[in-house]
Amino acid sequence: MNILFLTAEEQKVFEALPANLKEGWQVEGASLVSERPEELTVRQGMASFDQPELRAACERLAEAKEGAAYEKAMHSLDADAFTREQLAEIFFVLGVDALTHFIAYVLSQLKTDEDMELVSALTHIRSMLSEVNASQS
Amino acid sequence: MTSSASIPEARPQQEILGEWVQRDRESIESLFGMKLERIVELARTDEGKQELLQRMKQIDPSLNGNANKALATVKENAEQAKKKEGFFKKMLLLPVRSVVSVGKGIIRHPILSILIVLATYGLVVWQLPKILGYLQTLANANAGNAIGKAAEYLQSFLAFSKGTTGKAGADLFKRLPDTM
Repeated sequence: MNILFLTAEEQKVFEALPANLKEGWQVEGASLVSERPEELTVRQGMASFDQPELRAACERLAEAKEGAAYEKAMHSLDADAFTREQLAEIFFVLGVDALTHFIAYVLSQLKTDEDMELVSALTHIRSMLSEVNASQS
Repeated sequence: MTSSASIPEARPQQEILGEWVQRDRESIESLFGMKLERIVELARTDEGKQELLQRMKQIDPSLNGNANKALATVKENAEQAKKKEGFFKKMLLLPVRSVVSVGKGIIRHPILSILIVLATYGLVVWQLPKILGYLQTLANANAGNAIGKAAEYLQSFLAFSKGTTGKAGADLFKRLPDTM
């Protein structure tokens, strides 16, 4: 699944990347449907974030005193904390526009194949969220 | 003559509206005593809305001046519950490789993990003004850059989420130290 679903603007950023990073990746256009603020407000009310490790990370953030300490507070976080269900809960609440900002950020910092995998995964999630947003309930 | 002591204190509108937001299909169906699809269908017609309002007043007899706003909240909640089910089903199809990639990627970029944890687990973020200050520093330092825009967007998102907490956020609030 070496596909990236990118907006026109994101495609320009992708095209400017070094050839070795782009190799093997296929780009398809993304059609985005964002949420209204009222939808995001209700989604937050519906959410239940109860992953112990992520709650602990939030507490470490609250105790940290300055900039570098905030980033350090995240260092002991384990990727296992981000289960499929947790990611679904998180991205449903954050919405399409937040994902677009994250994708823009990773594209701007992109140096490795792993980062490209991350962009691909985030664009897939964003596409799924857009499809759901566009659907009639 | 009724004494002032017997007049109930008016509850904040946000609290009333928040009480109508249920987590999922099961909670909504349990509250209303009808299928989610029926609620969505009723909310689409004038007659259906009247039926829903009657049911809501049975559930909460104090519902008066806020009835139409509460009805709008119920409609949105029902529609979002269906969308959430649809999204979660789609997420089941995401390859394991992609799930792992996102988890590791978020860790690899601490700014992403901070923003995500704040925007979701830090729903009581108004207790954390220094972190918001830090995000503002990022936004200024990276003006026009991607992380600056992400930080700015999430600040606006976080600001509008003030006071609305999921159950986990409310528990967290009680345990946070008195900061700032």
